[in-house]
Amino acid sequence: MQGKGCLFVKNSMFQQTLPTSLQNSLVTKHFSLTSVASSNAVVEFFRARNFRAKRGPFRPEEKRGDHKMMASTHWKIERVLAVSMLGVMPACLFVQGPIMDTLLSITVLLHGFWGVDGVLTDYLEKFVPWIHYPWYLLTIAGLAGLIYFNYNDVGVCEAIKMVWKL
Amino acid sequence: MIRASFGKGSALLTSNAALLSSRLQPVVVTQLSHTSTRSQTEDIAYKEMEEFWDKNRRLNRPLSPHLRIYNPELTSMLSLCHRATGIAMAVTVPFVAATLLGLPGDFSSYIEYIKDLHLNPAILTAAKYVLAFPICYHYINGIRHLAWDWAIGFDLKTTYQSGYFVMALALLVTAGFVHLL
Repeated sequence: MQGKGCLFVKNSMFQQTLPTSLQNSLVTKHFSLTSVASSNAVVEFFRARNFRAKRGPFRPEEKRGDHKMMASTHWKIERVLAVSMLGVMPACLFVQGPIMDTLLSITVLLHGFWGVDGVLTDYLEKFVPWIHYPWYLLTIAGLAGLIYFNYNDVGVCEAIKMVWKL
Repeated sequence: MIRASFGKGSALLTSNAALLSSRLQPVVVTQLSHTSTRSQTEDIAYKEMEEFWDKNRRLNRPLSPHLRIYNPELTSMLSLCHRATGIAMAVTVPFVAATLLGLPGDFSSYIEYIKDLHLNPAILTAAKYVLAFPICYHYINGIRHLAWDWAIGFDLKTTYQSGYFVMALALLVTAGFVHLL
């Protein structure tokens, strides 16, 4: 528990040395039936509330859910979009206008949506299963805002130029 | 316990078979509505997972330290930076767009408002660094990520070299955007 190469062990406020009696009891094969508290405050917080993280999905059918597209196809579409953005981003430095505004808005929002969706699936979905819905709503609201901005206001390319001139 | 039977005596196998057969009946009866695509082996696997974690909770077993004992490496820190900048941008853009939709006045009025604050140019430069760095870093590291997706440059030495290169280039390009554009 106290290794030489550990970066955070000695100075972390969560890290406590277990009492030697407890260390000894952990080494033996018999666990005491009285409560053994972990030294991790986050773990204890959730344990006190009988919290259960969702385990899985494990099988392809579970991962696919309701839609029919294969995960690999979706992944390929994400890469196609990313590669297209490799071209769009430098291009917006040289060419501005309503078409570039629309292109930027759609690519940035779509790429951002799929990216954060992946993060939610990796870390948050097991704790909050409905987390995808608020993110979907926020993206739609963002798309609405950007369409309004590009049509009724200066447009994103011009807006970035104005901010940069400050 | 079921899989630990290699090289052990047949007594263990028969006791496992007894356990298996004793577990089979509750599984088939109670979960009939959910087992249309799942085989019985999978049901047992899921049930064993559940029981393993129930035992962990009941005994309050401590978690092995993970994040706190692993030294930060270039690979993990750059990957974290990629994710952090991506999340920051992906959340800010829709949030700002949706807010602008609701706020009164057009964009020029807000630019005028910031101009009228007469902020110290250093603050504006710092703000430009904060705006430019995520996109530059995420773009350049994104190229690195796409190269990995085509299985290019995956060995550790190349990963470290490209990592240093990407961070240096991102900082350079950010400085270029802030001071030259």
